[in-house]
Amino acid sequence: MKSAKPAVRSLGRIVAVPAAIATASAVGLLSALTGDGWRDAVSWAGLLLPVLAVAWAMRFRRR
Amino acid sequence: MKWLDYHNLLGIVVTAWTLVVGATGVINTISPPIYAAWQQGEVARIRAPGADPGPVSPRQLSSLQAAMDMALAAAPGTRPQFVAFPGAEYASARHYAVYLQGVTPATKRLLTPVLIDAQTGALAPIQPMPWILQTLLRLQPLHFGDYGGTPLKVLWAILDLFTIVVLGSGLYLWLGRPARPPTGGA
Repeated sequence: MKSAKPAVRSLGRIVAVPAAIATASAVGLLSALTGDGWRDAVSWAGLLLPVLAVAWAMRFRRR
Repeated sequence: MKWLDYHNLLGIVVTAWTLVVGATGVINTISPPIYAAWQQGEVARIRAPGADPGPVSPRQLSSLQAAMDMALAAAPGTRPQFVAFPGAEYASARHYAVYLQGVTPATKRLLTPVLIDAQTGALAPIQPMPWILQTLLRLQPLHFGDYGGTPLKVLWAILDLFTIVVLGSGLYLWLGRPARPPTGGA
């Protein structure tokens, strides 16, 4: 992995992924509310993203 | 700093979910009195004696199926929740009251009472719920996660556990924080 001091990143780069995860969660929460079928599938995908992000971090970024 | 990492990671990941569940929890707390006020107003309107030409004899009742069909046609996107017969508590002495609910998880809690004259079979004008109450009721499932099938409920439980870990690790880190130097500073 990287050295002890992480590289400096712009605010946009830092916030981009959390914002994408938050947006996906929100879309997922609202999607299944409006109906069944494919809307449920969108919902599951949107809310799976935060869970996958944690799984990925535990698997590959663990120090 | 393993727990700090987990605290931050999980906190970032569950932000949207916790905000939604928290905000809709507030909504659920303020909506019952609004709902009760609407319900009282509706019962008063439905049972108002002024608009009521008097009770109808059971022998003269018009077709219930026709009343149901008419109500469903008048309110698309709904299904019947219950029907009150003339003279029952949630109907008038003169009308069938067909209570319709929405078909999606968002509209499931929206009730539309439809009055049908039990003698002539005529449809009375429909009054939808006030929009503010509709909005509150539409958002209610977002607090409970009681929609979207089993996969959504499993994900809901996982995000719940994440939130618990965020709170627990935050407490753990705070209790184990280094002593503050006497000169102060962050």
